[in-house]
Amino acid sequence: MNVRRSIQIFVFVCVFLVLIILAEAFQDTDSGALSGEIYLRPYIVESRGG
Amino acid sequence: MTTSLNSIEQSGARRSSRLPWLESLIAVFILLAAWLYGFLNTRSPVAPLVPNVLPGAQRVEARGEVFTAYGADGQVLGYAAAADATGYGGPIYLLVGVDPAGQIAGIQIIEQRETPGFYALLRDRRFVEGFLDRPAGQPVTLGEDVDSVSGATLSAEAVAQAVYLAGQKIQSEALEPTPPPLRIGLPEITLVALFLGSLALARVRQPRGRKILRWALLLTSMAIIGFVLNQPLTIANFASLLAGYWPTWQDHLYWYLLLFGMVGYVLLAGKNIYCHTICPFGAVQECFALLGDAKPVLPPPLYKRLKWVPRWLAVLALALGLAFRMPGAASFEPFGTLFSFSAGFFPWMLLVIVLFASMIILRPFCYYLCPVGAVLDFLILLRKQVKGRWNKKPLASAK
Repeated sequence: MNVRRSIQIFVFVCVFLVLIILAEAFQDTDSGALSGEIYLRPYIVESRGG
Repeated sequence: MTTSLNSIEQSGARRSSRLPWLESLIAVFILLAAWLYGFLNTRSPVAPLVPNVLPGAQRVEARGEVFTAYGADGQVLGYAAAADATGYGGPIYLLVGVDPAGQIAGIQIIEQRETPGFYALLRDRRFVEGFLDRPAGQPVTLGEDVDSVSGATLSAEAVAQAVYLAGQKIQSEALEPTPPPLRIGLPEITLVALFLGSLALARVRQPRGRKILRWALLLTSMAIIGFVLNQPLTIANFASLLAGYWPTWQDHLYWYLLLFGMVGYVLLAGKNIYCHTICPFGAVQECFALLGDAKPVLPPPLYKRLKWVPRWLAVLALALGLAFRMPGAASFEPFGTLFSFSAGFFPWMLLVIVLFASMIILRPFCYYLCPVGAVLDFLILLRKQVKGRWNKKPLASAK
């Protein structure tokens, strides 16, 4: 396998992984953004949304 | 050692070419559309949330940024205000409820765009509870007044800052929030030292001296910026910059030095000193290169095509970060995985592949994948083109 082919495979595999990483990071944007956790005295925690 | 500075600099020079105007315009259009989408789809109204932090509130009146909550009998139950502060990857926007005595009665995290892993640490350690029953509008020292969260220090500081700002609003609507004290510590000193060292490197003529100084800079950066602080320059920093999530400069001086220092030098001098001498992940790759005697592998026709990969990855990550207003999530680089030893399966897989490849190819991530390098290269090309046109020189001579 020549050098060019190796580089192409390396880049292809890494880009594929990067796309998966980005998809995972952004797939749950609503729950990540609208956290909704409520902290009240005396330390009652409710959870809404995510 | 075949990993010479000259070979790296020559390889770096090969990255430069004419600025592709059409692709640049398409990228700018995509980023503007993403920014607009994010702008129109974020921030929920606060008033309906006030009863969440002041239970029993039947009626809420807004006066400026401060909400007054009334009980069933018409008595004042307390006051509420929202504020945000930027952590490592994005802002944390929260609502603080304060009783008439001035004690914090409740806090709701309305939105957060922090890097998911860091925010999860705050939630798991129940960090926010430490602010309850504390006087509103008083500065908080993490580690003394409230327990800090190691591994998510900037996120914890963002929460503390937002609680403080909201408290200040409640204390006096007219009162300007007191700026936090200026903080200069190890991160800032290290970064300035690395920056000055990189500038000094350009003046060292002796090859051996250059090699020693460059390795000293790289290893220092790898140890402190990487493993100790885990605060390298990432695409998330650029996404935060474009989204307008700028932290308070007094206690986030490092953020400004890193971003504006490196970008500013690129725009002023037309040189990217960060990637070659300061990037801690570049240092790690070069250490692996020593193990396998790696060399730069940039076959011209293939590299000409593949250099578009990091550019479009950068545009994609920035566009997602802007559209969803989650700059922290845009950071796909394996920096955090390595320096914090914490990530999911796919980031680990990416890291292992990159490090393995680093033993054969010199800095494979830098040349074929890194969005930070792509952004800085773009700025260099832009500067070169603008300067060329300004001086009315033909483009060919500006190459």
